Amino acid sequence: MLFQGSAVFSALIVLALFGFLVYFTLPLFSEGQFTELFSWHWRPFHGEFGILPMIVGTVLLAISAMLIAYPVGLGICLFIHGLGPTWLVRPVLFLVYGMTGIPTVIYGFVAVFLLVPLLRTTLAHGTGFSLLAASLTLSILVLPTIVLLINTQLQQIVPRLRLTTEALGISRIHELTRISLPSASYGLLAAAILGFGRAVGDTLIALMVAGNAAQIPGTAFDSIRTLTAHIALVVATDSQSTIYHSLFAAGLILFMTTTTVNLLLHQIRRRSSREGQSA
Amino acid sequence: MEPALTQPKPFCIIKNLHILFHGKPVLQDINLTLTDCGITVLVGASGSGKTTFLRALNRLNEYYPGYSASGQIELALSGTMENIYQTDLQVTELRRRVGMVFQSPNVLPVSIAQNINLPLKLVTGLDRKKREERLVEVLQEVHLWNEVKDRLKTKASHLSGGQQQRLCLARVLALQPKILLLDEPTASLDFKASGRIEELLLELQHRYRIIAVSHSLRQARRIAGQILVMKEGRIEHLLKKDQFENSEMLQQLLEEFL
Repeated sequence: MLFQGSAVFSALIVLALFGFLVYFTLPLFSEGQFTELFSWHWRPFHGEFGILPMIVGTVLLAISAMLIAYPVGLGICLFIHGLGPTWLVRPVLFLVYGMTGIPTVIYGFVAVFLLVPLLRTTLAHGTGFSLLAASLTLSILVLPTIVLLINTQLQQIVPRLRLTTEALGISRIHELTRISLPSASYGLLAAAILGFGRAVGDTLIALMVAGNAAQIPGTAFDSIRTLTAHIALVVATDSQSTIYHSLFAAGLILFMTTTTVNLLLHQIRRRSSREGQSA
Repeated sequence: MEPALTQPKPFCIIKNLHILFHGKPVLQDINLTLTDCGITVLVGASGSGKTTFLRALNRLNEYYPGYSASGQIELALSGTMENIYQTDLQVTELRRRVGMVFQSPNVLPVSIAQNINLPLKLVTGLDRKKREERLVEVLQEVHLWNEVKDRLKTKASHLSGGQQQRLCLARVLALQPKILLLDEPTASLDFKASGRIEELLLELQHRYRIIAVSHSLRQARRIAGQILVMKEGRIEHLLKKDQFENSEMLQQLLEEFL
């Protein structure tokens, strides 16, 4: 009864949130501000409220962070499951689990004082607050998500296979890459989707490290602004003008992205459990 | 291999083999010479070291933590006897030539065809055409071809237990082993499926040297050319066919040792 109640309650909250965002975004459509919203320029004092640079910034940051974190995470999982020495497995897992508990602000803080100055001096391009700095920092944030998801599935697959493949004379690397990983496709996909979702949804690292210039970056060393950081910045400085409406559009986009991520994950889990039963 | 008419040749010579796990002896002081005279069947109470003995021959014990061993094992892997602990023999190559089938069928989570194809590709690197030829060959050898030829692409886990076990046997045979190790290969199967595996083993004994662990004395008598009786990590007896065909004598021995 209690569980049912809380389930209904949380569903209602999500629905209310969605309704709220849609309600406040609607005026943009009716008052013809829609085209302004999807323009390339954010110049509020000239009446231009384009959020396209932020959408591009968000997508670029999430993808580049995943491009760094995913291969590293996959490598860590292969290391844990037989490519590395056994005595290192527990310390590595302990470290990765530990990373999940570190507050995001610590990563941002360390990046501002170590990574950003390092990039500034070595690259001699801009301030160091850049897409590159943010994606490196964000990749560390999403790494545990990727490792834990892939690792959980490999833990179900590898022990059942290992003795068989050992007895057949199949090497570890072949077993992992040709048999175990292909059987772990759901975990691999779930890690990619959830990691991407986390990268899109994170606010603090983008806000602290990416530089927050509302522009399309020419290179990875240029500053960007994400949707999440955009909302945080505008809310912190202005809550009166028409600028405010554009935030709801940004919020709605983020909300729909995370909802899509969750639906995809749900779909994947259902498919994987169905396959698991028939196998 | 032809039934030996002259002096049978040894294919397995073990000297002073001791195997310990976490310092606790599991096999002790094994000295044994096995010659070609049909299937060698290991019997003994559970915990007597049968599986460990089998896994000593393809060095699979090393996979488990706490393993240590001393002694020497020579197997006929090519023309001559080879020390399986010598450094220039890769353990993966040893395991290809000394194939193993487990107690319960352990098919890979891929299709029927891939269960044979994939290990073959990864271990031998044969080209596609040769692999396909061998796939048909071994599936016919284990009498599975007619049952699966129209659904080679379906998942191997959809086969019955007995079919899965024959597939596992085919998978090992595809790697062209010299010696087959079978660890209670019928223990998880029903009566009928067990019977088919036994018939199959009696056919295969002419082409491969087979060492099998059995949980049943009746089965041992049906398929064995010689019986190894194990007790508390030691080989107590090596019985030849004329010895265990005499039912009274066998009974007496078993009461004594099991």
